[in-house]
Amino acid sequence: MLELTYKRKRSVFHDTSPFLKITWLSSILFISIIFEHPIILLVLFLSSLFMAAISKIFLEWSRVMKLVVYFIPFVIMFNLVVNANGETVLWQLPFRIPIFGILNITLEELAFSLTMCIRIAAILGAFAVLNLTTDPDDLLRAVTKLRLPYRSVVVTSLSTKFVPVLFSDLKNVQEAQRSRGVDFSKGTLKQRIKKYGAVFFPLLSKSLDRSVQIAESMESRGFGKYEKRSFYNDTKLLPSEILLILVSIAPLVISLYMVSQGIGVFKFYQTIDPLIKSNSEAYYIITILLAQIFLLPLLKIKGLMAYD
Amino acid sequence: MIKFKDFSFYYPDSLTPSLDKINVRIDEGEFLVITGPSGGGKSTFLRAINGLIPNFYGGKITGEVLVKGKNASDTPTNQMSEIVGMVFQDPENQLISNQVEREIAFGMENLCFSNELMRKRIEEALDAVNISRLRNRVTSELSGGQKQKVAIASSLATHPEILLLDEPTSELDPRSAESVLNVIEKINDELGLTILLVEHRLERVIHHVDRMLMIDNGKLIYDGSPRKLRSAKVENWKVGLPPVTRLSLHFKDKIVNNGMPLTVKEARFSLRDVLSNPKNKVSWEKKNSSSRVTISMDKVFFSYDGEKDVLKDISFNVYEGDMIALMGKNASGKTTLVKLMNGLVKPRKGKLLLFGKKISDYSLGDLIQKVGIVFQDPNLHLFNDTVQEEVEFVLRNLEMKDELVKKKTEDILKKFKIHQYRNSYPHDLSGGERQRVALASVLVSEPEILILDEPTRGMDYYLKKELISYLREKAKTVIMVTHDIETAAEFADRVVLLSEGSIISDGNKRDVLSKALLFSPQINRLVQPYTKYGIPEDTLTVEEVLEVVG
Repeated sequence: MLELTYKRKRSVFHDTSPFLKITWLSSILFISIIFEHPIILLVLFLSSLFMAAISKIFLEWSRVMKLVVYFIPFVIMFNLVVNANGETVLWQLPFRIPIFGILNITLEELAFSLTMCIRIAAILGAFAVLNLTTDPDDLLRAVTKLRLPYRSVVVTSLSTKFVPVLFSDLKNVQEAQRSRGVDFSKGTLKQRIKKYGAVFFPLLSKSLDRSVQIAESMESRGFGKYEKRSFYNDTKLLPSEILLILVSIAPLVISLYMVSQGIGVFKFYQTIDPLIKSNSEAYYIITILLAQIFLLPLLKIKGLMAYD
Repeated sequence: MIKFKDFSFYYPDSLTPSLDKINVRIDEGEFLVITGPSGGGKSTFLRAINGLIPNFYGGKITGEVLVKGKNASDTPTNQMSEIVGMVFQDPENQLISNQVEREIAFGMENLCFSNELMRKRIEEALDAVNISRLRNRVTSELSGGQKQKVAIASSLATHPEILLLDEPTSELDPRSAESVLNVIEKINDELGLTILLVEHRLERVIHHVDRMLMIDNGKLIYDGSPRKLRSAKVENWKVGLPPVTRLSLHFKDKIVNNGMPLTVKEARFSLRDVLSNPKNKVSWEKKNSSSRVTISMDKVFFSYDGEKDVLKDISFNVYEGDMIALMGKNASGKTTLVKLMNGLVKPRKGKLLLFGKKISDYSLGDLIQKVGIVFQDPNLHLFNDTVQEEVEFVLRNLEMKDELVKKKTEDILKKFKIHQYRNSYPHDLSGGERQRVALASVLVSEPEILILDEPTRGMDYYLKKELISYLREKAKTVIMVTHDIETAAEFADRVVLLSEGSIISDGNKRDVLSKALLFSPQINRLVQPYTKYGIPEDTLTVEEVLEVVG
């Protein structure tokens, strides 16, 4: 089963400041949006992969990544239909599709689709690393420090906490209804809709009950009494963490500079650009790669120092 | 400390009051238990003290509630939180943070305590509740009892003067409940907090409290020491007094000391004369199982994750006509065992037959006519617009003819005394009524075997009695999962005890429950020193003692 929730573990990335995790994720997210360059996207993907490995969550992370594999045919199909471009035809559909005409599968479309899949994998991978290594409470603290209203942040954090509870409620309702003879695989469409109501309404009522009880508990403990709140174990950022944060946003700064200079732009249509167009592009890409990779030994050193 | 002055409360859209002209004064440091039938107004009473009523729920009030001079109805609950702490029934739905220390800090963070003060208070709270070893644990991995202790610690950390507890042990097994109640008693004793505890199962707490309030139908029926119960008209009460107290009330004129006995030890002394002179010589019949096997399990193993076995080497048979109480601590595998019996989960290893056939050989329609299961939470079952549709639903799934559906539904609604609600929306009914609708909606298909998962949790004594007499009268074969020893003693013929996934005891209830350390009913413990005078040592209920002593 897909497990995307935080489990308490010790690793250098688990133990690091949530601010660093947020800047690392933001850096990957923005660079993936800025560039369509396959090598840069691959570097970002590898960055998540290495981070998952040193965080000892590789198994859980790779389960999330399997989802991307299911995406690939859909991305290709979608591009085939909406993006009928490219000169190097690999295969032609033997029949005509109304509106779209005769569709060609081109090398350019295929390359574009696969690059988009790497982009999805890079973004999803980074989010998975953050989710699996960060206690939602830590994230809540960090986000509140970024001056977001804490009431909304607590509610968001709570809703993630109760996702597994919702699934367990769903299972209980399904079991109860099955014991009353509800067979979801049988009946006309109308009958089946009615049967799904047998799961939906009890689940809704259970969730509403739950939310009322949680709200009561929070009110009784003074939630919302003051505009601000204090934080237990509110440690300040260490100088080493500030350094790591700077390292984590360095690739983003380099990327923004590259965009301003028109470097790193990659075109798939009508013909695919060469992977490396100039020496300066190669240097910049190598710098991004090094900045991403540099974070890992730094984290390890910080971790060793902390454990000592 | 707390003063109710002619306080009445109406929930929104309700014409009848949930609390009706309550006048009561509670002093500093008192320990009160509040009891009464389900839906009587106990929880509403508690919520009026910290202002959840009417500030959170809305509704109409008359009169006032003063808490340390503050009008609770005019003060938002989050403002009251410095004076009043509250612990709720369901441990699952009151913990906000993922880690124990942070959970305890949650209330203090809301009140902007400094880090230094929070650290000190967390230490104190962990210590007061005796859970220092859990400080770094993840809350979702704690047991129900541990979660309730964390909830208590987190209420204590803000140093409230009043602690409200709304049935904090109803989700717990006897041992965890005992340990939570010990903590509550210690807090009252050592820290001097005023404590108001809502509780159905009085035998666990009644001897610790200074006062008992009984609220029924929104009215305060009794306010006084539980030892002075003899002056009250207890016969009409719908609450479950401890069995020893219930027994003593039959002999209130013969009781030698001044107060009603509330514990086994006190009752042994107070009822000495009665118990040492039994009038009738009786021995209890031990009902044996019939010979027709309905469910047979042979060396059954079950695991959810393929690694750790939740059930290990289970071999036992259920016979036609059996009334079985399936007992054991939380997470001992009781619910999993009953889920195996109607095919909701499948064994990893071993042989399981239902009326001689594999469960997979039954169609769903046939299966639910063989085994019906009613889960503890009736809300899981209910989704139709009216009670009648809810009950008809199963029969329609079985594709029964319209006339037969109507007749069967009509009959069962009458049997369960919910006919008058047939056109009501099920979720508008009280907890006990909803439980009966859920029960009717399964029983209407007349299953050969009926399984009930914790049916009496949160039920008052009166409803329990009704359920037991219905089951004994109408059901064919029943397996009831329960923590409630007194219910098991009254309902069952056979008791099966599970521990850590294995059956540790299985036999006639008199053999299993008599002289058992953890699972023996109060009455059985009471009579042990008097067996030499002729009271059978396997006596289990009040009614049985009355039969012996005349």
